[in-house]
Amino acid sequence: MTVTLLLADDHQIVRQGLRAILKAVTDFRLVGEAADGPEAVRLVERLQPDVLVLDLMLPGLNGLEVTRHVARRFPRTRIVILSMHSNEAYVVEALRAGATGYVLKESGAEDLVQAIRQAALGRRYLSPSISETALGAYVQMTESTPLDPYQTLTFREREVLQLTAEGHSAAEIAERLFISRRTVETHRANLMRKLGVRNQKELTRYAVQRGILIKEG
Amino acid sequence: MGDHDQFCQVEPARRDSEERFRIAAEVMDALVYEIDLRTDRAFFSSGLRAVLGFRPEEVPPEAGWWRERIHPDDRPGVAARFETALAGGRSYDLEYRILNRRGDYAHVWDRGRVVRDDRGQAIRVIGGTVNITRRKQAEEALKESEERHRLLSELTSDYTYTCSVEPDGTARLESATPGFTRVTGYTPDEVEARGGWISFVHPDDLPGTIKRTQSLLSGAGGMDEVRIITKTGQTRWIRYSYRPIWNEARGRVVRLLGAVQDITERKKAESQLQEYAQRLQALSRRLLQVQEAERRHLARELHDEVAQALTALMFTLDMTPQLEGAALRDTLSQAQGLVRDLTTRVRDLSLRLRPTMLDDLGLLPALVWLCQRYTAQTRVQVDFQHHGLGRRFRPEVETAAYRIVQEALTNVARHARAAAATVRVWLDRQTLCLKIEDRGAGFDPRAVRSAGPTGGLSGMQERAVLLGGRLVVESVPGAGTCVTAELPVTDEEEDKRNDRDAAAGR
Repeated sequence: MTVTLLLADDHQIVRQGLRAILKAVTDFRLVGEAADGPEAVRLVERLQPDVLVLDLMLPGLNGLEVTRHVARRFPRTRIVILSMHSNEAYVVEALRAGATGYVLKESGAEDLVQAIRQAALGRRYLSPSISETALGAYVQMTESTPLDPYQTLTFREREVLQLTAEGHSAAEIAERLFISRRTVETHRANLMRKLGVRNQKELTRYAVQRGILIKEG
Repeated sequence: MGDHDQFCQVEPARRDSEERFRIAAEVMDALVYEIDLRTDRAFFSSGLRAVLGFRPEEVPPEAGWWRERIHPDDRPGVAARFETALAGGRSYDLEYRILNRRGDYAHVWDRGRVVRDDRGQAIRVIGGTVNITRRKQAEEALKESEERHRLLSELTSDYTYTCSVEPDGTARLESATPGFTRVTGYTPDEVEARGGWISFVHPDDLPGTIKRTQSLLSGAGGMDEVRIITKTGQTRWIRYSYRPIWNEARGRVVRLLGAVQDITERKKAESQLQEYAQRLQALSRRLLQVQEAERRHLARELHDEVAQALTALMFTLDMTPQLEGAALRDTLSQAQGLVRDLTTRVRDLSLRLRPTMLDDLGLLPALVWLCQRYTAQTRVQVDFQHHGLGRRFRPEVETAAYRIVQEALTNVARHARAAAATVRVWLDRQTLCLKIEDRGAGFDPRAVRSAGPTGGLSGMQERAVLLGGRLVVESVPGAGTCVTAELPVTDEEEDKRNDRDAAAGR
């Protein structure tokens, strides 16, 4: 089975090297070359190659954008990213955008050939030096965590919260913390906004629920 | 015709005195009148013309005619005082308005004596009335001009004051406009009790103020700006200008007039401006230093690491023409190793300058990478929590957020002696919030700030302020440090442009 290929890289010398490698593989057929992002998209549309070998950093439209675009509009064309970044962030973002393979430029020709064959079959391929564990760790770290609103308060805001919940007036708090009354009021408005409480009663209830204020009686 | 007739049928001796009396009344422009209380008949002298414009023969000889011309508002008061005088007094002294011939009200001053019979019953009154309209008008005009003056002084100053000056040079506050208490918190009496206005001048400004007071006793006016301490203990800036009033006869200054303006806000703005200017200067100095240090570092790195490795590579490749077989393969793989090593070094160098990730992938990937790399290099564990970062922000916002986290973490590694730090980044409506916290050694923020703009802290602050945001560093020695920053996500200028475009239907 012949695999049709489109090559997109803005460096002439890199394309030359890649062309030599890919022509040496008998069942690969290079159908076109692009030097920038928009050209790559146009050629994919026209030539409908099996695999697009794509430099991550392309002028005009970066590789990630090209990947997103092609994956959405031409899902039959698989994408193998060619990149100098071994960092998990790039790998994960490329895969999220819709790439099937991710090959490091520094790893050898054999790696690229392998990636293209796997991609043509719809199988994911990553250069061996990319660690799946690291990818997992990265994915985990990018997952959004629900934030505890209390943790978003500054030291000062926590102090003001505590004293307000204890029933101290703005004037008393100002005196105790050696700040102006207006500053106390600003802190109080900010912390109430952050905690989503609207009045003194809700603030006190929040403080009791959080264990900031020990309920009397 | 009773009394009136009697008044006309006078003896020659009395006529003389009558004549003198008439002339005197005419000279005074005064109306002389007599009222018979039993009949209410009245005699009006020719002075009636000077007072109301009527000749006596034109008007009915009745007191009622006069009473009815009195201004309705003044009538009850006049009647009451007149009755009081009749009941037990000897005389009366009244001021009121009365209708003249032209139909205007004239102001008159009316004084009279009550004449009683043997039993003490009031039978007649004899009085004189003068027209005081001009005097009244002058008084009104004076009052108006004083009012105008007061309004003007209120418009141009916060308060004005006058002081009397004693021969020994002590100045006593005589009067001050109500603004005095608004500005100082004291009433003029309170100030006098405390020993004069000098008592609320700020101690630091006292020597200069005393010197100036002495010079103004020689008659020189001027102005000055001093700090005062108000009753509530606040420090306020005032600007006072004064003119001494010189008394030629006494040969000394007898009074001071002054106007005072509260310039606290202006002074605040000035000192803020000055502080900004100083900070800007310190920052640009530091910017240059940092740039120079960075260049020095790069130059050394390029020379020591990259150039050395390239030289080694050159030597290795130089040998290949003479080699064959296994030896050639070994040398080439050695060269390959050198190239790989070099690639890593160059990449590290470029990342340290600016992580490409920030531009290519955005804030979240860059922060994840930063935290991982930071832990690998410093062994300080980072708990990175975030919310709402699954999007791109303006490049300035992404850069500022990244650099603030980087700087705060660098400080933790350098100074906190903490094993862990927490980084929280979240989006709160249109504000990107950052909070970097550790439970390490902490420091006294005041001590650090008073030591001048230290790069790290003020650099972070500057980044936040430049974006229209804010940054707070809180630290408690022994309890840790907390850096909180808020960066507006939207660009106000951009918003305005968009609004304009939308309005123009573009």
